[in-house]
Amino acid sequence: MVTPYEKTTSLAGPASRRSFLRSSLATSAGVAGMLLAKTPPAMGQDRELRLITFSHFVPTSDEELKRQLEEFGQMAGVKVRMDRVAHLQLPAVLASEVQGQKGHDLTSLWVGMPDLYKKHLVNLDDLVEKVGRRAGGLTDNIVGRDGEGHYRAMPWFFISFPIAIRTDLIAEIGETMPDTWEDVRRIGMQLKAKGHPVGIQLSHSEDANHILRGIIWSWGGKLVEADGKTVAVNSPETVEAYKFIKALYTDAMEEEVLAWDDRNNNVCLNSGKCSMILNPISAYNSARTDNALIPGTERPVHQVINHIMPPAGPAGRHMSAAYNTIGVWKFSQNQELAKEFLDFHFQKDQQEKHLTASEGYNQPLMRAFSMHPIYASNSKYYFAPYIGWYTHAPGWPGTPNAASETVWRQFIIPDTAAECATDRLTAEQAVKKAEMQMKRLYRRHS
Amino acid sequence: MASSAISTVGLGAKAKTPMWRIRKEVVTYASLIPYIAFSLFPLYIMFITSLKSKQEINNLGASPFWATGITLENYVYLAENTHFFDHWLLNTFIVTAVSTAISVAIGILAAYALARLRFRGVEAFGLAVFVTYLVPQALLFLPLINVINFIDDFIPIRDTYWSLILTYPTFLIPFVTWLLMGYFRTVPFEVEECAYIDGASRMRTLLTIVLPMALPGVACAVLFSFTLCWNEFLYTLVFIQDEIQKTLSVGVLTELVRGDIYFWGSLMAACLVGSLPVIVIYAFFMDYYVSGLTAGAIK
Repeated sequence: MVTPYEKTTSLAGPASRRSFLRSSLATSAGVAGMLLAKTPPAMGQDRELRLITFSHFVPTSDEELKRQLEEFGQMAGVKVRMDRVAHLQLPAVLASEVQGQKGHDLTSLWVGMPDLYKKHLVNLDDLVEKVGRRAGGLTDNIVGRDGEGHYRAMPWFFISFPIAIRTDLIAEIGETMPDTWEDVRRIGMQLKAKGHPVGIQLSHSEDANHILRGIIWSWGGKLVEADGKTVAVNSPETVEAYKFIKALYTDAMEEEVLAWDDRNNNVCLNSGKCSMILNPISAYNSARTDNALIPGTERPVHQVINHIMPPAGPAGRHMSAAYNTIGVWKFSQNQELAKEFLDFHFQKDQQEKHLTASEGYNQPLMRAFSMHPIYASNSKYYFAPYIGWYTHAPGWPGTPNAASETVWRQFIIPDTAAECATDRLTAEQAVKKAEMQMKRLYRRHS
Repeated sequence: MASSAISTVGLGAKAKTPMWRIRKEVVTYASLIPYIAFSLFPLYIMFITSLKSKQEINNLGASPFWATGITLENYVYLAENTHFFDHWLLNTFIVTAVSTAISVAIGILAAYALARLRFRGVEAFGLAVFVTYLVPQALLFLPLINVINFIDDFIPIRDTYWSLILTYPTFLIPFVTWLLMGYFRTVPFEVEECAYIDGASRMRTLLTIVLPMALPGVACAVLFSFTLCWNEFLYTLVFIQDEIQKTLSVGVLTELVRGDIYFWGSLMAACLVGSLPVIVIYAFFMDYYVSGLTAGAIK
């Protein structure tokens, strides 16, 4: 028997106006309380460790990283999630996370970003020291640091730029492998005449930024002083480097390099047209997986591609590389957990699995991991353990910082080099223009 | 017999098309060929490339306009290695349909009010709507992420397509409002007056008198909104990183562009399949679309 009172208060029954007002008031107060306290309800507070990175060039590398994250999550008893974005879209996502002070716990960062986002990244000095000690030290001492010298991100791996070269074409003209930039120009000139030009971008591409810096350094020039603040691009050495870039373009390359993106040099080599490019091993790897053939033959082009050290210039052998770091956001609710994951990920066993999964692409910055068996498994990878000797981060000889990152993103060096190569500016004028633009950016970031 | 023969000759003579008309039609259709070729060229290249093997795509010596070895491997890759068919396509459709419905509904009410009602500041308000439409998304996504994060603290919408359904109307409503304002002004006010004299309320007048007359304009607004939502990139990129919740534009880029390695065949397959809904919807509403554009432009 249900009384009239029970009827009115029953959940299933119709509510009176008074009970409706009461429950509405209570709900509103609860929501207002949550809004003021900015604390989500308990059901939304499950711990989840989240990592964002760029879509790796080799998909299996992402799969291995995700596996390690999941293994760590099981051990730590937390949920985990790994998200990816296309590599050129990473800055937009990071900017939005910093703006909103919310997002992932761990983030992949490009080389200048630890300084760019230093206010928002956890200091990792202790962790880098611990991991570095365990792994025999770092092969690079500036990557991951901010302008004050603190580690805002773990130095993760670098992607190097050897010469990828068609050995059969070199043999055809009776030459040996180029050792210097002058060799590249001379051999390239002969091979261009046979329809096989050199392929180096003079355009808005990551490759152009890396390679042109390498040429400037190899001529003894530099973009900034070691303090990372003083612009030093306008020097006789840089002018000579620009003159060489013009000569290389005129003698050994074709106009199309002015419009290339990062993919075009791979296509040029794998299609059998280009004789040599400077590129990570992705060109070779994709030629192998796609089984690209030398035109007019049934011979796979990857069989005649080899990698050799970047060429030397008058001031030695220098090349830039894509350095990747991984950091922990200060707004993360799981900072300690994130650091524990990094500690786990940088163990020898995990690092080696990550390197293997990337097919040798993720070259370690920890000394103990650099001589990995994968580099001995294929003669095309022999260069890999040693190329780090000649490789520097883009801000070299200074620390990569917010200013060097902006100079990079605005493609100041490729633009001015292209203007010089196409006779729109003399080498002196092009270098002066680069200096003017760089000084403006460095002033803004100082 | 004779009469039958005469009638046959007569019919044949009647059916014969004059030469001048044939010439005119040939010239008309011939003059359309360059335009059609130009318009369909991107679709054709997408289609042909999506049927090529990786080897053929890599071969710069091969013709880009024809495939020698037809393969479906790019579509298979899309189905087996990405969430293109099982999630991204559906997500895009849901986001587009719901955002368009919300935006057009609100836009109709706003446009009618701005076109017909007289109140202080109506002109300035109309201008403000237009200016809002001009603010680029690249400026809006940073403040909007704060809004999404704030709501996400209480209702988990970040990393779900609900964040898009909530934010797409921010650029769709000003656009729909601006488009329909012009269209509503072309509907004769006398027709509405007749409805008022017959005792209809303003809302009933809008729904039963004005809207049917403005249907081409509304269809035009729906089409534009649909296309804008379908192609939207930036908000999806920053609001959603969960692979399952992504829409086509970002999902395809994340999975098929990996540094300097582009999965061209699968990219073209994804672009082609992703374009089909837009093509279909335009094909069905083309007449409305054209009349909506022109009728809104003149009075």
